[in-house]
Amino acid sequence: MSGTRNKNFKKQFKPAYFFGHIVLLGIGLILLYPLIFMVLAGFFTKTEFTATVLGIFPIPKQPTLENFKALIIGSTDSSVAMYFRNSVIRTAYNTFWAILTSFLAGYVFARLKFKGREVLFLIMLATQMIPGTLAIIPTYLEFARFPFAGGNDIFTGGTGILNSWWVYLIGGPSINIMGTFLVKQSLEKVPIEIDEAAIMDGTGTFRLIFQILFPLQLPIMAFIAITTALGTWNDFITPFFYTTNDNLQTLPAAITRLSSVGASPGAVINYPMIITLSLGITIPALLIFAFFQKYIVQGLANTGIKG
Amino acid sequence: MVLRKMTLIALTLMLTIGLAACGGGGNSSGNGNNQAGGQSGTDNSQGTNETPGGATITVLNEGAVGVGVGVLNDLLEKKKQALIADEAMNPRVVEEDFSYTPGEPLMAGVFPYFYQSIMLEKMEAQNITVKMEDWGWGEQLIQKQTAGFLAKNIPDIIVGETQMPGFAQQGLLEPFPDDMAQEIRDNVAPAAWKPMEYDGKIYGFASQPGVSSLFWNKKLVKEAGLDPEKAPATWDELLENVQKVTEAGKGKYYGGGVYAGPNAGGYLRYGTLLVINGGGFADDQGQPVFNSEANVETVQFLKELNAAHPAGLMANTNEGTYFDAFKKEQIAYLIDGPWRAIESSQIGIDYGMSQIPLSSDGKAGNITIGAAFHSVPKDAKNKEAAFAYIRAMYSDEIQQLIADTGVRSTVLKSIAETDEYQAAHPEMYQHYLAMAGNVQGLPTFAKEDSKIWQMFGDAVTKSLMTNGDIKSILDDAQKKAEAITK
Amino acid sequence: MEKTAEQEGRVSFNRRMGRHKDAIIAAVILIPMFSFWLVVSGFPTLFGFALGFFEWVGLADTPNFIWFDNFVSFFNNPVYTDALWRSIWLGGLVTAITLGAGFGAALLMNMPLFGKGFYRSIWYIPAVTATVATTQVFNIFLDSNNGVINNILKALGKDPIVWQYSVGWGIFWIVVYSVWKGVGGAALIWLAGLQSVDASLYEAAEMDGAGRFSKLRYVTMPGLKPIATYIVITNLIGAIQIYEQVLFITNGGPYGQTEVLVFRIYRDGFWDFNLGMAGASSLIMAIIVITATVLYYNWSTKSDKQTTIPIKPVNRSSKGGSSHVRNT
Repeated sequence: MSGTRNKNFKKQFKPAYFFGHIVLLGIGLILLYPLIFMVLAGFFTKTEFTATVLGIFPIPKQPTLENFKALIIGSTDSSVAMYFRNSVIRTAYNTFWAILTSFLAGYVFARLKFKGREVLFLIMLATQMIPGTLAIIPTYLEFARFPFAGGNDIFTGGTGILNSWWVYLIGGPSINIMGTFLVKQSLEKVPIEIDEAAIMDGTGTFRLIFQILFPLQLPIMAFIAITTALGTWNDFITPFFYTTNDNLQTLPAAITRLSSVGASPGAVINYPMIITLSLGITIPALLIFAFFQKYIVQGLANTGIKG
Repeated sequence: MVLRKMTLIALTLMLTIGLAACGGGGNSSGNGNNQAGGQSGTDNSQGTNETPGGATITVLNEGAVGVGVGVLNDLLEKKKQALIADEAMNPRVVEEDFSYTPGEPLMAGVFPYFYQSIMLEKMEAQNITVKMEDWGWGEQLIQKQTAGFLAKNIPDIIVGETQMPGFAQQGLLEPFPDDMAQEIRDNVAPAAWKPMEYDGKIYGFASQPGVSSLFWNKKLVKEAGLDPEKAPATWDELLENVQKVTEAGKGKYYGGGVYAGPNAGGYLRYGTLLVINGGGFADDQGQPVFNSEANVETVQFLKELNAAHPAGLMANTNEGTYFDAFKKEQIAYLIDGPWRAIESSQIGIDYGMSQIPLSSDGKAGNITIGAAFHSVPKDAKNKEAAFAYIRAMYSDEIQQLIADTGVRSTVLKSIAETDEYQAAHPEMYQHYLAMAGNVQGLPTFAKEDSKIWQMFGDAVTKSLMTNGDIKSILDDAQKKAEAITK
Repeated sequence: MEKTAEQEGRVSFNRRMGRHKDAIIAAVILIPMFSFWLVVSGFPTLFGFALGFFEWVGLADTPNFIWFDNFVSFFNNPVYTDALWRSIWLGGLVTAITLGAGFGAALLMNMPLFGKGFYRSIWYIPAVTATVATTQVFNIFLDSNNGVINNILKALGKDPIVWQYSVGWGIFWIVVYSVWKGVGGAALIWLAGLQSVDASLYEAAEMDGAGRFSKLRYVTMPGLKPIATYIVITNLIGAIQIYEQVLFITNGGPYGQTEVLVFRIYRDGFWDFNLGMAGASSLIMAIIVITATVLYYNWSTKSDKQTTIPIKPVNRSSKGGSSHVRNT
């Protein structure tokens, strides 16, 4: 182990590797720059930010922690903990289902043969091609008219599943199409002989899927988990549109609401505050990313396809 | 092959859905009222209640008077503690600030608390429970309201700014009862309701609206060798002043004038100039009148003002940029709502404030700006109680509170037209006079409102940005707009 | 459907028996997911499309079935056709740059560099942020009067640039923002793809004396085909739907010349309450993207077959695996 490490260390100075470091770090820092700017801006007071002529790195003369405090304490009280809890539950729930559905459905579309497979797949793919904004109103109507829910007699009379946990729960077990597509594409590269050999050994479909094929797809599954988790975490549209109860709000929705107060007629937009609050959404998202990203590297080194 | 099959399936589904959608819409209006099942979260049990007694209404929150979401009764004490704990408040709020005697000045920070306390008291007296909801503001609010109207799932009182006249025009709002409308017409400045008047009925009310005034930075004006106390009375004077300031500024600061970006923020502000010069955006039928002689003159004036700005500032898409320039003391003059006064004094700008200068044959006129109009949707469950709420918004107590806070003007004649008010808040009194004069709202065009607005906004921007002939640019916009509305 | 029938002939008797069982497993797995999917996205989407056949202006009006009138007015109005065309080339441009840069980055990240986890993270961070917030930061940079970039230009004694006056700069910054946000994600997928290329293929190629570039050309590229199909299609779908950055950075200006179709759909739907036109535009856009996707998908899976066949036997020729070619 230490031998390879040593060998790798020496390699770092080969021209190709050196070039890699320079490019990845250099461009990486450029990509990171707007975020650095945001962090610096977070230390400004509203008044000073307005009065400052901004340079590349804005440094406040009277740095303040108020914005970050407001972020942590929230507008009033302990409800931030509740928003945070809701966010975590929603994220975990959606990520779990995304992994499960995309892998199972990816397996179906990659390996099983049945009539209408391609058509079905393309129809589902097609629904990804319309702008989400168009679907907001139909979804709202559908949720409001959800049969027999929330005081509805068949379609009308109540509020359907709007403003309830169902808004969050119902989306989970739905097939994750982009994930399915990715797993399908990736599984098609795994030799079918692996399946055949396993079946010959008497392995059932279930075990084949979860014990043999799934471990081969860890990097891909990690990617799906990351994107789903981040997508759910950052999503404020769902909580914002389909719920109004405070105890159903998630962190981004609450933060969006907090910063929309600054948009009321005549109010001063508090840029440092908005920027800091959006950092508050970003930081947990970064932690989610840091947690999953190492699985992408693990690659296939220890999964058996090589041997 | 694949495509053909898909289209077929899609078409079949669409037809089915289309029919179902229409059916669903029809049902809901028929069944809405005889639904008796009480449902937690909403208040269907109150749905058929004709008398306001014992009712619950849902009201959308508005930033300027917001105290949080939930039942109003529970919110006030929480808000009070939060205000005391808030270190970002400048000046800090302490326990002693929570006392208010009508007629005595009140600190702006505790205004929402007292506003809602008075509302609560008035509603409780009529046995009405108020539940606050927050649907955001701006784009998001409009989206959510649109969806809410379609699903007939909408609060008893909705709040909004430029989208509200459009809702009224589409027949989504309940007109105020005749006696209430009469009371408002008799006692309240037009700025508070005129933009929401449609076909002779009133559809909305704002308790503390604004109109635009001219503001200037006394320091910069003085540096340019002008009298900082003297307000320019005519367009020519204003133009002369901004040019002098621009010269004196030598690229460090400029004369300024008015924001003219292609969005509501621009229309609301430079629209006042169109109105003053006898031009405008639309006629009574909602047809565009872009290329009138008066408008061409006004846009010409805007173009001359544009020369007294840093490049690109006046027609910037982002309105915040423009006001930033005033705050950074980069422009000396601007036209804006009454809040500019308190904001300027907060950041230490010595400002002057006056009515907007007039063009040579123009007469005073203005456009309501920064108004949170409260309206009752047609599908509201408790209209009686909702109107009782709006009545409370123009009650003596609420309007006295607004007058005492002094950030905005009261809209009630009986309070504003007194010597005490004039003495205590001279600027706000001037502002009230402007609100009581010839005030209107932005019109709603007959069809595809936002598209027509965009055509006008783009035409003005184009006139400012390019050297094209203003008349022909406006003619072109007029032609394109007519093609849609007629 | 002919395709499957044709392939059926090649499938062994054994496989044909398996097909019945396949259908049952597929049904068991897919039907529950599919029903949820119908509720959450299938139904609302079709509803949205269906609106395209109705005249529905104004929320209080009853929708009025008008067949294809909305589609006719779409193609007769340059506002829409221009926006459509702009969506297509802007989407293509953003996709090309994002994927190209992402691929380069992935190649570098695939080397055993120290700190590659760190690199991956900083490249990916932009994707994590909320568009509403980061476009604000871009606006702070691009402000014509007090923007960071113009402040620097002024400090250098140059004239400030009024970005908002120029279509070219507007497009430029929309592209820069989109690439900034997308490149890290693209790099990650490419990387996951690179790492799933069978390492034994590289060893085999090295034994044949292949250099760095022939390995890239003959081992890496073919091995990445399925992932490439995925990443091209999904990025194109995403890029053609760009609108938030347009809304927040240029708001369609100067005078409507950076408007893209989804931006128009958004305005139609929520500002003009013209849900019929919004539905029709969406359907037109969907048809174009679907056609492009189907064409690309078929092309890429077809050529995939040709290039991967010679590679496959290297892998597991001993088991006679070449009898089964991945069914498309």
